[in-house]
Amino acid sequence: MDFAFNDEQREIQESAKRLIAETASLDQVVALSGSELGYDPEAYKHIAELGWTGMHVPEEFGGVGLTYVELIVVLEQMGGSLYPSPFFASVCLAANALIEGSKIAPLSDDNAALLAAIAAGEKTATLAYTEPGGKYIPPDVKLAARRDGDDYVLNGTKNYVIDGHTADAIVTVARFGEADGEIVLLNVPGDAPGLTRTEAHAVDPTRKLATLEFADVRVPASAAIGDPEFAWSTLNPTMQLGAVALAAESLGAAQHCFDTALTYTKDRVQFGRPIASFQAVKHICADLLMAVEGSRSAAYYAGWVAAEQRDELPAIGPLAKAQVCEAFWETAKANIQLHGGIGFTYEHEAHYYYRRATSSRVLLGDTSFNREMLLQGLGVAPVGAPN
Amino acid sequence: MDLRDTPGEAKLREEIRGWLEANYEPGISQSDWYKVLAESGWAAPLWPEQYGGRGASASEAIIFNQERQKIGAEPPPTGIGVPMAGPTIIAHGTEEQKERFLGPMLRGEEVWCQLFSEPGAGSDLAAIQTRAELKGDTWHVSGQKVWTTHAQLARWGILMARHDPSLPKHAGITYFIMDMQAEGVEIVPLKEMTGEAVFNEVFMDDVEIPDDLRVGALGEGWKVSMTTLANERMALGLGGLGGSDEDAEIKLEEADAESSLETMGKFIRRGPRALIELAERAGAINDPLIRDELARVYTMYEVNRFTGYRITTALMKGRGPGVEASTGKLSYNLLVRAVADLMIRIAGVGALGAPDDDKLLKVAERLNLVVPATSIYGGTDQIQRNIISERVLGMPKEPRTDAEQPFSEIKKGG
Ligand SMILES: Cc1cc2nc3c(=O)[nH]c(=O)nc-3n(C[C@H](O)[C@H](O)[C@H](O)COP(=O)(O)OP(=O)(O)OC[C@H]3O[C@@H](n4cnc5c(N)ncnc54)[C@H](O)[C@@H]3O)c2cc1C
Repeated sequence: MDFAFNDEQREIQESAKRLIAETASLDQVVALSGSELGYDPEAYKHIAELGWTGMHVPEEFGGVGLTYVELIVVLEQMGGSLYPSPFFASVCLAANALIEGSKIAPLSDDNAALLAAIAAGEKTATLAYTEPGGKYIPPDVKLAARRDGDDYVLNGTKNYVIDGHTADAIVTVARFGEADGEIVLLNVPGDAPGLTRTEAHAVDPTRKLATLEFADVRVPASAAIGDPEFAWSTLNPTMQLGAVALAAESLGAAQHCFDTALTYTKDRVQFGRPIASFQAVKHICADLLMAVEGSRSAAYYAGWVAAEQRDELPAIGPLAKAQVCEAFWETAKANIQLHGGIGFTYEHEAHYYYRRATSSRVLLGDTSFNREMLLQGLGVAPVGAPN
Repeated sequence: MDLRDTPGEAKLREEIRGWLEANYEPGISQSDWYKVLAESGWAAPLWPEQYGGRGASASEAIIFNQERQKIGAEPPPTGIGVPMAGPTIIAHGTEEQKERFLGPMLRGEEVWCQLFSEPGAGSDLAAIQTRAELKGDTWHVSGQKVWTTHAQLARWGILMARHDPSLPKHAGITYFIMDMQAEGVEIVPLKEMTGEAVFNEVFMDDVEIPDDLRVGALGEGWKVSMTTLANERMALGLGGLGGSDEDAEIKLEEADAESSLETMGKFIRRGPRALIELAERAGAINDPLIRDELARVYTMYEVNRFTGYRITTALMKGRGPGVEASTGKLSYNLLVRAVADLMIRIAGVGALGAPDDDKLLKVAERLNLVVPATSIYGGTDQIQRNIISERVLGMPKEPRTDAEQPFSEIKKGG
């Protein structure tokens, strides 16, 4: 048994840590969050050259051919600094949809080209799932994909699409029939005629969200990813892998909040001694340590499960997401609390992490949703439920 | 990162399987099995060979434990002896003490108890008042211990006593091995909230202990006790690291109104499936609040299991476990509490007075009554948080007023 990173993985970790420290100080992150893109395209090119964007993409699709474990190593470091990048949406959502789709049905030329371009960092992409209902459940997928000759014609709205206003391609979840199962996953170019994209107001300025309006957007049948009659077989594992990725990112962010809070309690003096010597403060920190270390265990295990494509993924993906995002939330809140008044200022970094924790906790389904997915992943379906 | 066996581990596993096949017979009596384990060194594989262990690596010990569980063979003697008194005697005892005590301990022939807590000294263990006075070569011990688990069964006790009240509290303590059959020892059972009496009061009235049963130097009792307590925390914490172990063959029939904490521990490890079964039976499996909590508790189990892999990896690489191990006891306590609460929630009024033939409900009823103990013994949850924050996180201790002056002059409880 070896439940630790190997030498190569540790090297990736070190170089990610170094690069991110040099290029993503909080000031830089905040400055970028004010731009429309929200990231620096040069920096994205650079991490692509380092192989990050193709890390877990199979070599046959132009990737580096490493595993999900290497991917989560990088994600953890990104989370620690709220690293501004289209990486999550492109590599951890869209690329996964294409990779998972390729296991169900061969990728069309366009789709294979998109995956290779994502892996090379030449194109960005995202996944458009949620609609005004905001839920990741079959009845909420209403965006209609009507067949017209060899094309699909799309009409409807997608909300809360990460980087949706700037992504080169939008992997879109659409309904082509009447029943819940009749879902298709389509690769839609970001500049497709009829597609209107607006940056949405987002509580977390370091992760951009967009609203997409589809008015007679036309894509060829070859845009379909995976099974065109039943895209759940692609979308479900994509969501599970996305959950693992978001867990890894949130682990880094939670650790950052914890470290910051702990250091502050040792420096700040009240009543003639460091506040770290007060038991009420100590017990908060002890509980946070347990939450963060437990999250580390869960995120790493989930990374291994994803890398090995083990049958446990449908349970472990949501498990990791729920565990780590809750811990991040607790840590982000406590970080503000333990800083007192200064923690509530705009000046202080704590609120950026609080905002990110708010968003990570609900994106890809909130904690209750992921706990329900966990039970279903274990085969414990509600009695009398369909499928 | 790979959770499967390395080739070396796979080979070890084969060898251990072979050994178990050759040496374990289903239905073997506990005492015979203990003997087999002790003779082969598997009763305490990590101990040095000359003291009855195997000087084994952590991998060997861990793999042995896994394979033993798979075939449903009982663990080596547990309790206070092998997990706590043994390592303390090995670290601080004399050669004669090791010679005399370790063998019978490993064979499970002599039960041990822990004579630490007193009416005035629980969390604040260094506040003990039991006196030990040296006359010639013999110590004379008088005082009272309390909450002493299995004192009524024990042949020997590990004892902390104060040899000099004029010294500051930590400096005046010495550590002994006490003969529980000696004259002047009186054991009075204490009825626990469950109704049984597992722990006791132990009164000592001029009990004689020869100086060669002192463990460590005069005044080093506090330091020696740290070895005992660290091993206790480890033993209690490791209980939870197996996570959900569906192989752990605990039959529900074993559970009854008298079930020990150990039986309950086994039940807890098998827990998630039992919880789900209970929820299905009680018609609660469609209740979204119950489902949410089931998943949350399941997550606690799994997180403990994954953390166990991290600790195992560290041990197998010959590193001491890091921060992840320090939280073991507390996270196990929180898990056990959550399981008990959820069982009662699911069972509802069914858990108020379960019929004897409904083993699942009986477990729920029973667990609810035993579980308050886990967050108290072996250092309360609050004390665990103090330890984590001060020793792991390096947060400063609270200022204290009792550590410097003579023990005889400070305010005491009890
Ligand atoms: C089932 C069971 C078996 C036991 N078996 C044994 C045994 O075999 N041998 C043995 O020696 N002892 C044994 N004990 C005793 C056990 O170790 C003590 O009960 C425990 O350490 C707490 O001490 P106390 O009971 O004096 O409570 P106290 O120390 O008085 O604690 C009372 C409350 O105050 C809190 N508290 C105390 N100090 C602090 C602090 N510094 N910071 C924050 N909170 C604090 C505690 O957390 C607790 O909630 C057993 C106890 C139980 C319940």
